[in-house]
Amino acid sequence: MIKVRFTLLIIGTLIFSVSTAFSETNILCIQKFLSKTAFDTGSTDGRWGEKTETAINDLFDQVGISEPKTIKAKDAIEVCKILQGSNNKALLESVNFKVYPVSIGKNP
Amino acid sequence: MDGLLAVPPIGDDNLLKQRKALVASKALKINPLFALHPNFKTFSKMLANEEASIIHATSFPYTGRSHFEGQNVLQGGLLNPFSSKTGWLGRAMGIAKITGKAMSLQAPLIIKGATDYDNFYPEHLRNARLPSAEVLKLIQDTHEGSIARAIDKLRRSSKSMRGRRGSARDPLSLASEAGRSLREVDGPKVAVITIPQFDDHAEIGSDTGHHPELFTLIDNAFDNLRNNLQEQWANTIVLTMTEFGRTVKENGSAGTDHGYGSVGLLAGGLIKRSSVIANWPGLSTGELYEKRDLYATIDYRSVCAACIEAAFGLDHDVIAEAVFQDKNIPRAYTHIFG
Repeated sequence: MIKVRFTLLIIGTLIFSVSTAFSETNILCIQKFLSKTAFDTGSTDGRWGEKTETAINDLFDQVGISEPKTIKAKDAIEVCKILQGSNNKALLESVNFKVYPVSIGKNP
Repeated sequence: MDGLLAVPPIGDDNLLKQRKALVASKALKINPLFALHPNFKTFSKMLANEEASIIHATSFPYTGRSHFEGQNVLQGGLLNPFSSKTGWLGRAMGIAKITGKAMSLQAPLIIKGATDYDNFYPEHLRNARLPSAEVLKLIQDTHEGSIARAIDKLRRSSKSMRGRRGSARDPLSLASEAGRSLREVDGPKVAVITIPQFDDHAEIGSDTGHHPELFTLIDNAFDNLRNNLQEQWANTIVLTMTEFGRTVKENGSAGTDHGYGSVGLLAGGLIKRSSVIANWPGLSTGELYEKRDLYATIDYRSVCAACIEAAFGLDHDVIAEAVFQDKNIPRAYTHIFG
């Protein structure tokens, strides 16, 4: 009985470890992309924090990607796929700089 | 140029904490973050007409505070000062086989490297007369090769300068002359004008004063260029450059000292959508370069590269490698001309 419990524990640990590594890879993929843009968070530690979440949501907002609606850690795989997609270079160019639209009016 | 006086980031709460007096009282609001000094009257209308843009918190990659080194990096376009005998614009003109004109007595470094350029800087010698085109043609016919080509160029310049005896050397007259030359079918395609004396260590001014007067001068230069370029304005991009910005805080003499990040003003018909382009670094002391200067978060070489791409039609990768000798320069084209 003790042996069975021990085995289950190992399996659980393994699953947890794999899951963490997988998630870390995708968060790193997002953070590395962010680091090349105007939305650089300043760190690429593979951990999902408030800065990463705000930055990636701002980036998607600027380039007009509407799905996922509000990006959370669980969306890291999907977001990473978008960032590594075929139009990666065009996407990167479009977020090199933050652009502030002008609304000065016709008669300033 | 003091970029924070020219385009104050009024939406940054730290602006007035850092600068007590050097902010224009009636700056023209552009968007929630940025405003424009009111002396840029023409430029503000260009912004409204979707034919101008602003790049803020930008600089050439030079963090020292020497005018000589900074101006050399600005013109040479390489990372180290005095490392090139040609300029980035000249190298680009050479690749694109484009002609140019320096509105100065000596051709500045920036245009060197081009294969075909000359100068315009009017002299007023007493009793001097321009040689007639016929005389020059006779001299040309007695020579051959490069000397004949040089005399031919002189003959064509002499022809184009006739009837412009009133030309003066001040930047506004030179801007008008540049506009006239650029619009000629067989005229130059590039012109460079220098506006000096932005080094206001004392009494820089806010609403009025020396720096605001220089803003008016820049504004009028834009106006003169546009008026004299006429229909060619639609195919033109004009960009300002400065070797570095000024300190964020004013000094004890109501001026500012040598800094890092500044601002670039762009105008011309090649721009289709006005915008302020910046990765705003912030103005709290901890966010400043060496706790005193606006951080430059945009490499101004990427802006120059975008202008070359738009005006000369060269590929960004060619510009990055052959002109600036740095393949990592980001492509800013889509932001400015997209």
